[in-house]
Amino acid sequence: MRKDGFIFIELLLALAISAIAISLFWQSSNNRIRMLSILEEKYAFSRLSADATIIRASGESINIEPSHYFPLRIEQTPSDIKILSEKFKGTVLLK
Amino acid sequence: MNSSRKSAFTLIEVLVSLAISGVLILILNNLITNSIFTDAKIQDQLEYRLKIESLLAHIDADIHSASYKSDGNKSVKIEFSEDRLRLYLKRFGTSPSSQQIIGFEAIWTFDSAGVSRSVNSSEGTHTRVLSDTVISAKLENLTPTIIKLTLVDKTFTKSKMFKL
Repeated sequence: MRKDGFIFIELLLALAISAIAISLFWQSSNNRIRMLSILEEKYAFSRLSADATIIRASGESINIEPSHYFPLRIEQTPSDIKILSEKFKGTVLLK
Repeated sequence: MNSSRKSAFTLIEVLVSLAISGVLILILNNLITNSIFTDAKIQDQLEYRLKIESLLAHIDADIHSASYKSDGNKSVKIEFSEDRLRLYLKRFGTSPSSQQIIGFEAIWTFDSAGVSRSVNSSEGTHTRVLSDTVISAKLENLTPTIIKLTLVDKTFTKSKMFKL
């Protein structure tokens, strides 16, 4: 039977394995949240595109409320809607 | 004195190490529990928001498929009271039982019971609760043919325009 207890390397190894397990759990959880957030952003983008199409077709001057399309970050001018979010950066929707 | 006894930790050392371990375990436990709880809460909120997005897409599909009345407008009727919003629309769809194309009335209800969609057809009435969370719904007429549905929750506001 072993009497000496764990050696330093064994302790370090156990700690390293625990740290890897915790970081994997943390990462998977963060990835899931990020994935859901990207999905919501895509939904918001398609909603905004459809709304912009309706506004364009109507020929009326209708303003949109940027906060209603969160997490999509947008900037509105009288003639267009610029997307500032990373995923759709540079996209401009005409009103 | 017993000379065979090996040197070991003193009582004070053991107590101090126990106290330090106890404090560390408490802090770690709090951190991990809070992080798991917050993660779960954020995920629930995101999933709920996605559910609302898919509801808006579903209403859009319903309105898009609504049949036209003789005046050229879509067959969409709105009923709005203090705590309830109802959208009635007539359209065609496939019957789940006979697989035939049938005409039916779809009724969207937003009230204190949540969000539900009922289907009235010759085959009967079926109601499906799509969300049991109370959400405030508001409908505005932006132009005679464009309506805007706004859904407000504690954590978000989402709106969608529909062309009638």
